[in-house]
Amino acid sequence: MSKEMSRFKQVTKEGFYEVLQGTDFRKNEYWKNSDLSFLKTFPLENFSSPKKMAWAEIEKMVKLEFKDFHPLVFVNGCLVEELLSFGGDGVSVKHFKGDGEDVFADVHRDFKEDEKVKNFFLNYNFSFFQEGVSVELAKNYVLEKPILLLSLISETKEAASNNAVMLNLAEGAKLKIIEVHPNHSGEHSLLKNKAFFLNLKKGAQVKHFTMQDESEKNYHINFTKVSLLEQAEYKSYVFQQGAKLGVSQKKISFLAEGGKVSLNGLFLAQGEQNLDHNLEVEHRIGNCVSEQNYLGLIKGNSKAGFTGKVKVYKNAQKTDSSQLNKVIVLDKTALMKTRPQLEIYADDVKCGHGATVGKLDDENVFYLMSRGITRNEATKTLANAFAIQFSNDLKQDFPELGEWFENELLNSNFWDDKR
Amino acid sequence: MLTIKNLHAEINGKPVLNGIDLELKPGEVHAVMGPNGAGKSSLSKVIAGHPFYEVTKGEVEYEVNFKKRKLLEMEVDERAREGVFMSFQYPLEIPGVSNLEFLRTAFNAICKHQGAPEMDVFDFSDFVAEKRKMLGISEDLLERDINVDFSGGEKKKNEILQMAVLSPKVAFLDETDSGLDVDSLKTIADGISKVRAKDNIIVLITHYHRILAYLSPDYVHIFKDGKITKTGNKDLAFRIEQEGYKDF
Repeated sequence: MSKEMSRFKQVTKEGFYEVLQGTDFRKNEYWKNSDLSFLKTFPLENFSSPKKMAWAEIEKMVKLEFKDFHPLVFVNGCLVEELLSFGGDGVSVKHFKGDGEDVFADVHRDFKEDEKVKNFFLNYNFSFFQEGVSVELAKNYVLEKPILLLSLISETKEAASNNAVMLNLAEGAKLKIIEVHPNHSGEHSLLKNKAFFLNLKKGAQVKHFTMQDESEKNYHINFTKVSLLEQAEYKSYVFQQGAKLGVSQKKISFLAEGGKVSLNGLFLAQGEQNLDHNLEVEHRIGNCVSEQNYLGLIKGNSKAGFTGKVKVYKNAQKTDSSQLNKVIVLDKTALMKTRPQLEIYADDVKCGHGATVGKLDDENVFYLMSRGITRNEATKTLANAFAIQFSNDLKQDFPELGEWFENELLNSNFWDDKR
Repeated sequence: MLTIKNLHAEINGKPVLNGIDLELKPGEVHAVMGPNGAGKSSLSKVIAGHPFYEVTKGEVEYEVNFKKRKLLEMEVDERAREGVFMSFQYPLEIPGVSNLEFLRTAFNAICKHQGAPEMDVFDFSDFVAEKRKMLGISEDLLERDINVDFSGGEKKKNEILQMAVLSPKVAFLDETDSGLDVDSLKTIADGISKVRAKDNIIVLITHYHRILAYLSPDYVHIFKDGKITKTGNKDLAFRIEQEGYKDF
């Protein structure tokens, strides 16, 4: 580890504990929708020993009906190198451990003092960094098969994992990444803290799907930072239905003109779950397009949050940004907090936003019931129809996932009456 | 048999039915006519159990399989499973729900309730195909989401298809004939005739005598201000066509 890196880790670790002890997260603007009280007692140290797993064993743990991908498998926060199937001309894959080279040095340098509370888990990730991977694509290289990032846990105790993935795409390069956090139904609570850093050069394209289906005792924090140059495109689909606390954060920066970003999400929260979504799009320069489209269904005593910030800098003329958050609350006991935040300093822009939080349409429920369908069944049918919108959009960019995801959605325990 | 006694109802505190008395017997076709806002649609919605309406007085007795039941105490879905049907004046569009699957779910819910065997996808497709052809509904319409991107006429036909599939004991058809071209009107009237039977009741809510010419109702009731002001035979409908409602 370089001296600079070592010092950085030390400083962030100290800063991390300082923040941890000195911050009332409930009062913090950035974390007010996430219940972080578990941090007081949770062991923050990572899993101590890596575990190897053969693909046959993995297939038993996760049902994946889609084939043809490049596996990138983490077990207990450690990469299973034996399963790496890509690399070579045009693509380079590097595996980094906590004491490895400082591939994330640039990211660390960008990490500002005033972000210590706001990006608390990024701070934590830096301080307790376990392992990471960086994938670089050369100019105009198109990775034909998608990368399948599987993050598995084979636990024996309460522990954490802190990983980072960096994707650097040179001009015109393209890739798709399918990120799956399956439910492993374990006994212990686990904290998964994942960070993604994407750098997209001119005309590069990334499509990113995330499925968060962690066990109900787990804490899941997922941060993605994307920087885009001219005509670069990033499309993401985030599905959250697992974990006790699931936080999905995306920070987008347009650094050159012509960039396009589309952020889509679907969350199903039930029981005592807490699912939060935090999007921040910085239009630092003009002529870029950003879309946010998040749908949610919540029931039971669950709490969900959506914060969509769009900042349009003074010189970012001709920005085109839209934001939509539609949530259906199925029980009066469930709580949704939606916060559109638009900061616009340019005068020639198109920025739209809309948020609706409400129950299912009574007329629609009546229509189905008037044909003999029970209230429960009608509610389930309509809620499912609402969620299908996300899966229809997903299919456009990930046709290989279409049927698998539709089945996952249909068979979700969210639709069970008693939960 | 459906017996409506002194039925009063309101929506958002506004009275819409002010004492309706009506007796409907199996095998009969009734027509309900009247100016806009007279309470015709409200009656069908109250019978179906629409959640926005509140019954303030009166009762509805429903006799099915020789058992008398208080209809207003039954939930919306139970009424439907016991054979009460209402076709919507403005059928709703429900994206994400397949028309065919919806129809099969509803059909099977009724079968299950009545102790009849449920139908699988294949048998049901065959069963529906026959009804669908009768109404000139294309197969594609069944594959699509409920009423999404349907034309006005297709929506109305879809309602009658639901009736034909669910074969209710009492069907209130709320302005099923509005907004239809001549050919569609005939198709729909033919469809209704085929569903009409000795053991069911059809109530046609309409503004026009055209559909009545095809279906020849046994009774015509004139609604005004939430009450029935006159009951007669089908000639009454033709008289209204000529003279309007001013004398009723």
